[in-house]
Amino acid sequence: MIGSIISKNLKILIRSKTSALVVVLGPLLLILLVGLAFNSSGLNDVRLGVYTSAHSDLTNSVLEQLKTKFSVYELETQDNCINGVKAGEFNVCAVFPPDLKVTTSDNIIFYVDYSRMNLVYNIIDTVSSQLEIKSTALSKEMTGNILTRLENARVSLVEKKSALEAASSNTNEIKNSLTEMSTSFKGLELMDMENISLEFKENNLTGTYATSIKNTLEETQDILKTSTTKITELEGVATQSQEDLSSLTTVVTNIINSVSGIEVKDAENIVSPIKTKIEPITTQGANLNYLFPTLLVLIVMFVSMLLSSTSLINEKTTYAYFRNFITPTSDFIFLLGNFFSYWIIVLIELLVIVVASLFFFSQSFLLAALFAFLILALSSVVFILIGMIIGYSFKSSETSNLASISIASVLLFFSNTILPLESLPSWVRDIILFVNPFVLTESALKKVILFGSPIKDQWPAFLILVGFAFILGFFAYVANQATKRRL
Amino acid sequence: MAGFIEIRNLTKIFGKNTVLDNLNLEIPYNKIFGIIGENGSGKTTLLNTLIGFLKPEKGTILFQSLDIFKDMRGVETRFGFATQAGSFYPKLTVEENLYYFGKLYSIPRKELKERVRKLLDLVELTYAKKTLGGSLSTGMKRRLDIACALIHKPVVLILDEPTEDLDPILRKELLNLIRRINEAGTTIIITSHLLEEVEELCDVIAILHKGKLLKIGSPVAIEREYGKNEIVKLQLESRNYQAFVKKIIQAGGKVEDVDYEGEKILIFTPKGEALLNIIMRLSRLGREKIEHVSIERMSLNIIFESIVRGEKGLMS
Repeated sequence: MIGSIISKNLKILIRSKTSALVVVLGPLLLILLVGLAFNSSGLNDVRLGVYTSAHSDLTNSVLEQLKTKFSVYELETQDNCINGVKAGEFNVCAVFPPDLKVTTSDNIIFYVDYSRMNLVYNIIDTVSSQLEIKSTALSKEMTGNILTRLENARVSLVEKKSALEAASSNTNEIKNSLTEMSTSFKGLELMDMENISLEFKENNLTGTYATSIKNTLEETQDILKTSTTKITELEGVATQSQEDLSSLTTVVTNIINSVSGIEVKDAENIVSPIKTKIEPITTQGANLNYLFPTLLVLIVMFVSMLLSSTSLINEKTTYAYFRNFITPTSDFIFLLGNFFSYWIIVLIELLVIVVASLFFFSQSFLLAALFAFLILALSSVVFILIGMIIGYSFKSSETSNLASISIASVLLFFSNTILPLESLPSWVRDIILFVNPFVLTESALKKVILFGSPIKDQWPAFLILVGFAFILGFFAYVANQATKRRL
Repeated sequence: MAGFIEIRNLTKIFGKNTVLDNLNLEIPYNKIFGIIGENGSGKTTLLNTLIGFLKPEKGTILFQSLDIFKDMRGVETRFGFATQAGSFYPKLTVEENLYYFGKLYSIPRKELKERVRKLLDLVELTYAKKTLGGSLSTGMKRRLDIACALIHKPVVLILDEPTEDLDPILRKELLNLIRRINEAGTTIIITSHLLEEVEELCDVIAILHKGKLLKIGSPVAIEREYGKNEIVKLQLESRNYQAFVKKIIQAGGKVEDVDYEGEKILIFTPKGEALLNIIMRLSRLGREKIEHVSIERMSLNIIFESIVRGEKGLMS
């Protein structure tokens, strides 16, 4: 029994060519497109805006390192750089302190867009990796410099070690000689000798006692002679020591100069020579704020496409549809009438959403809400027309729903919502940025809601959406005429 | 006004299928013109071409001597069309449907209001004007559809199988409505499978077969032309009709055609009474037991079958 029912359903599905085609080809096409587009890891063509008021060698060297991985664009002002991130021109803005040196404590500040949650941490990680390479190289260089100077000091000291030992030995010799002389001099009772001499003079003494004195004096004379000789010798030793010490002083001075020549003495600077800081480009904090623009576009896209396609199928399947065609009212008027009906419904829904959102956001959101409403109203035109083309092209609500969901999924996958567009090859991304109304709307909404961009800056997106509306309107008319022929 | 609508050499082809084959037809003014034919004979295609919804491969349709394909606006404003399916919005009320279609014809609001009132009276739906189209009974839906087709005061009203699926009472009411519309000056073109009602309603009928016109004329004229025959309905116990018909012909009986209706044989003859006498005589002589025998005049239904069968080569 169940088998018969399944068999019947499958036969009906297969014999309805459009249904079978949509059921099989829709998801297949989706997988094929997404598979081909995202069949790579990592990010492609990450664009880095850079600003610095004064370049240093280190700045240039860091930039060279960053250029190996990113497309680097130098900006004239910091505001241009940050606004570039807001506008989606760059993924990151790096602001370098003037004359960046390893000794300075200033940070390189990276401004990132946290609303692109699926990209921002990836970018931070990639940028950090690149800077880490440079930082490690700098750290190695500085450590190597210190070690070289230490080695040179060691070699110099080793070389002068013998001189130092000689100076030490000479000093010891001087000390010993002086001790010896001191001992010799201590043996002389010079005071007595003076008294004796005085007595000799006064008493004009001779004899044994005098002889003894004479001998003593002669001995003393010898000692003095020897001492004089030793002192002369000691002068030489002292001179040598003086020279040795002088050369040692030079070596020590050199070592001091060498150590003083080490530029970075702070251990933290040696370990992390490049210091960075990540700053958000917007002050909005909650994840809801970041998601809100995407959420709005998602609602508008699905509601517009499904509403218009389903309503048109319902219209087509009523017998009254035929009567419309035999009235003098032109097909274009019918197309416009249908379009405006769906647009009014979507606009009412949008209005409700935007007003409700005012409760979640601050009062300053009011102006942004108005701009957001305008952008969404325009993009809903595009999505409604896509839905109408689907509605005119398919015969049943099942196939039209499937087609609507498939197309909406393609638009969703090729946006920044699930995977960042930076995951795509750059040429594909460049095309998508201009042809995907979902991306155009989401981007314009983010700029208006999150970054407070003025509505006039969204003109390019507006013009593209208007262009789309005209093209899709034409195709909707063609589909309408084709439907008429099939009645 | 003869030649009010003239169809000349009209050919419509779908793929390899020629649905209308070099059709020539004239529809007179202010008459009820019936188109009959088997399924697939091209009736609906002809109607859709008449209202300009389908473009023919060849030929033209002149409305008051003007080519309708060169003046579509004229067709749209002068022709009204009602299908058996009910071409109105089931989620709108009776009144809303009429106002909506009236607006599509750019009828000024004040005038439209008056027309809606009159039409509701004409189709007897005033009491149900606030009822949703989808909630109406089958007969009411059919009347609403006709009202929608009349909202712009067309001079030609085309009705495709209007009495299909209606019970006899509703059918009678609808036929009366059609007559009233016609009496008000509207030319009616109607298709139907129910030949009795076409015979009763139409001033002129056209018989289509495989996209070709087999016959056109008033029901009386067609009946006169084809109705010279009478039908003898005979049921023998033996059911051996072939041999019995041979004996009738050998006995001098005039047999134009034969057909079968269940267990009975239908013998078409211009002299029914004489044939009946032969049958009775042969029955007595041949001891052939007769279970049923009767003589009938030919109805349009039978004439239609006869003409179509003749076209198919079934006539003896």
